Amino acid sequence: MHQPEADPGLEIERAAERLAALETMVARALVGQKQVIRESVVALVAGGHVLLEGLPGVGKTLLARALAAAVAGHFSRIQFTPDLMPSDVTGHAMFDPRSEEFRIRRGPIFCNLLLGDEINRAPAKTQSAMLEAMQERQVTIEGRALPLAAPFLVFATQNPIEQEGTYPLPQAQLDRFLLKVFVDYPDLNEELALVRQATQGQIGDQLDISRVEPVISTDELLSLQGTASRLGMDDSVLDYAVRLVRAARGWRGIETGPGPRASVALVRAARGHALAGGNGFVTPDDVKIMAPATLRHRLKLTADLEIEGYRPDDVLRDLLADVPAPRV
Amino acid sequence: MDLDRIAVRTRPRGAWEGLDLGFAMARTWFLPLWRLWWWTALPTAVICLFLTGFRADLWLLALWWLKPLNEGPLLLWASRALFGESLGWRRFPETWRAGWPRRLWPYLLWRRIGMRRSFLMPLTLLEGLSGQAARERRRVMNDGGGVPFWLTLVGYHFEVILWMSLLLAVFFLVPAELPRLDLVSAVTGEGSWASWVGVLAYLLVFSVIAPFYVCAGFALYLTRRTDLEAWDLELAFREARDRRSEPAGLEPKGRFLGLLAAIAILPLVVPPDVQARPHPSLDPDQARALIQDVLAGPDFGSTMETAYWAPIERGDEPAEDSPVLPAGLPSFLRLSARVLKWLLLVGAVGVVVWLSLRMSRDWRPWRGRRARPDRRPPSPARALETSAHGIELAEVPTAVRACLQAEDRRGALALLYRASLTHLETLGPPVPDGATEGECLAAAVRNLPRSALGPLEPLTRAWQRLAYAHQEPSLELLEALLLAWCRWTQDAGASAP
Repeated sequence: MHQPEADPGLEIERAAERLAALETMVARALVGQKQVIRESVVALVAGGHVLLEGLPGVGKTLLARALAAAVAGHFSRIQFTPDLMPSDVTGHAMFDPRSEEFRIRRGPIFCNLLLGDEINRAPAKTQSAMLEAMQERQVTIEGRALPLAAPFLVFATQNPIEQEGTYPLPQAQLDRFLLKVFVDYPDLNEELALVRQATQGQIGDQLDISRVEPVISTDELLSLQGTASRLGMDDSVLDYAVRLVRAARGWRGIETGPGPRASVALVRAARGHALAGGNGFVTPDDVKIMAPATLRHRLKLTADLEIEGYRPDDVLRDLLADVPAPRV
Repeated sequence: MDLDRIAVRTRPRGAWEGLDLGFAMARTWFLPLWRLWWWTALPTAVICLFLTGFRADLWLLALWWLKPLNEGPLLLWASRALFGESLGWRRFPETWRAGWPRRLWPYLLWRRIGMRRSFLMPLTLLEGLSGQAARERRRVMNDGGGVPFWLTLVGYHFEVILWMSLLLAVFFLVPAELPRLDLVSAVTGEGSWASWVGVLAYLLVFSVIAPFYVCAGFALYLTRRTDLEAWDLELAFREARDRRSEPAGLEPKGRFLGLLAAIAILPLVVPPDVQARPHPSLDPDQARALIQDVLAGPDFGSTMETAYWAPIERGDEPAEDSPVLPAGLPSFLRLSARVLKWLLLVGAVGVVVWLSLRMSRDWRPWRGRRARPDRRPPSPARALETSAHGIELAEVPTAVRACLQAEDRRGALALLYRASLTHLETLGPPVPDGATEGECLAAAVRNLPRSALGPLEPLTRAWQRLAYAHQEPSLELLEALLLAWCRWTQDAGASAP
């Protein structure tokens, strides 16, 4: 059995405090949506990319910008459009007449936190330009591999309606996202607070992130990621995570199940969640809580379920209720 | 059989036209035939339900196999109705006593999967032939040609199409608020309510198709007999005879001339021996002997040679460039076909045996449906009873103390935690297999008052630390948890009604 490492104690406590501060800071801009904020922070700690999906106006872009503001790093934003070219994302080589040589002009992808707004509006060619960066943390321009600065995280947004003129993300690229986070409508009280805050002394409808201050530096974020990756995990919990993913492959109603990368992602996300919760070890609860966000974009439902309007979360709910948890 | 009372117009018909006649008969008599089918099928269905141990799939198979049992009465009713006779309920037992069960046996055994059942059943059931006579009769009737085969094949397809249509109609038309019919379970499921819906739908389809199938086969039989026995001519002659015997028929002068002409022509067209023969009412044996005499006469069985000239056509000679088959090829093909036929037969028998063996493993009608073995791990909440310890809830404190004395802290805490889950289930909140420790605790917090939670929260935390972080609790903590657990279970026992 894999022996979990000793509880870092103070380090864990401090890490949980920093992450709680980060959540509080983001919540200043994005009222309510506690679970969305928690999942985004978990992805940040686990070093994974996030695909934010939600209807227009629910705060997807605001969340990404607030996170970027709270993490004192280099932030870039790309508005994906149908005419966006791969070089607009990654950069290109241009001839400099003064020095009479080609110079690499780095694209907006060279940053710590990239917001890809409405990523499904760009054609597959441009979407694929991000594959290498997301997986290998490097960009190849004119044959030269240029590493991206750590940490590098992509927050991409898309909305589930308005499918005209969009290019659904290919499965290979979806698999690169650690989590797919649903941003739903806020409840009544949250919406009341949001409207009050957004209209009090506010001119126009621009996103207000002025109240968000940097609470974590990039170095600190890297340290938190290291702490999360070293978090103890019992074999039974690891076994539970893998069993969940494997069960999804043969589950009724799922045409294509998640691959082994999903198991890896689930364990990473569970570690991140445990750290955000201040635990020095991962429990089956962490795995189960993070399973929907980790698996929902990695499985394809059968045609009949899709026609009937079922969503991956409906199937995952059954799966999570049915796969025995390692209690005793 | 009184041909004068036949309800349909007798005339030479092709076999497909005969089918049309059968369908027309079925449409006319559908309601009485359909009711009759249910009257005979319901007792069979109830008996089979018990015999098959309430297994939907076996029940349907049994009813499908016993279809000829329900078709016999339909055939009997139709054969009587055709001649204007109404077959009441009292007449059915007489028919059964007249040997129908014995005649039906072949159709419930080796002839069940025959494709010409619709045509052969009238031969066997209505004429009562058996043995060599039945074989000879079938040869004369030409087994109905290929049409009974197609009737059966199309009937099977219609059954399936109607069945699926019925299920889809239920599936699409039942309001969404009601329980949804699972089509896959309805077709393949075992034991679910959906599978029973599927089976009952199939039974309904049986009842609808059966009158058409029986009447079509019966009409084919009638068509063939009309051809062979010239019923149409016989009826025409009878009508002519009736007209002749009618007083207001022809004018007296015309009748007199006709009579004279008939007397003059009769010696020319009727053989002398026939003319001389009286017209006694013959019994079957005498009739059979008479038929044998007539068949032995010179008009039957004699060989006549005639010679004629025929032009020799050039086209009759084989062309030089036409391909000539090798001499042994036809016999080789015949042999191959025969071998293939036997291989298929052996394969089919093998498949039937294999399927029977597979089904027989689960077939325990006298014990009811065998419970499917539960391959899932036992619910952790019930693990207390099913564990190797096999201890009762009241014995938990003693067992925990024994573990503590043996320095087995993990065993003690695991036992205490499992016992807590068992006790939790008795308090109300269900503990599903898929629930984690956190979810069990959350369910308890949601459903129980704070005072009824006992030591569940610290116990869960301690167990999680031990199980997933390998941090053993102190002995003091374990003792405290045990005491709190005892108080918790005693309080609950005291407050229980």
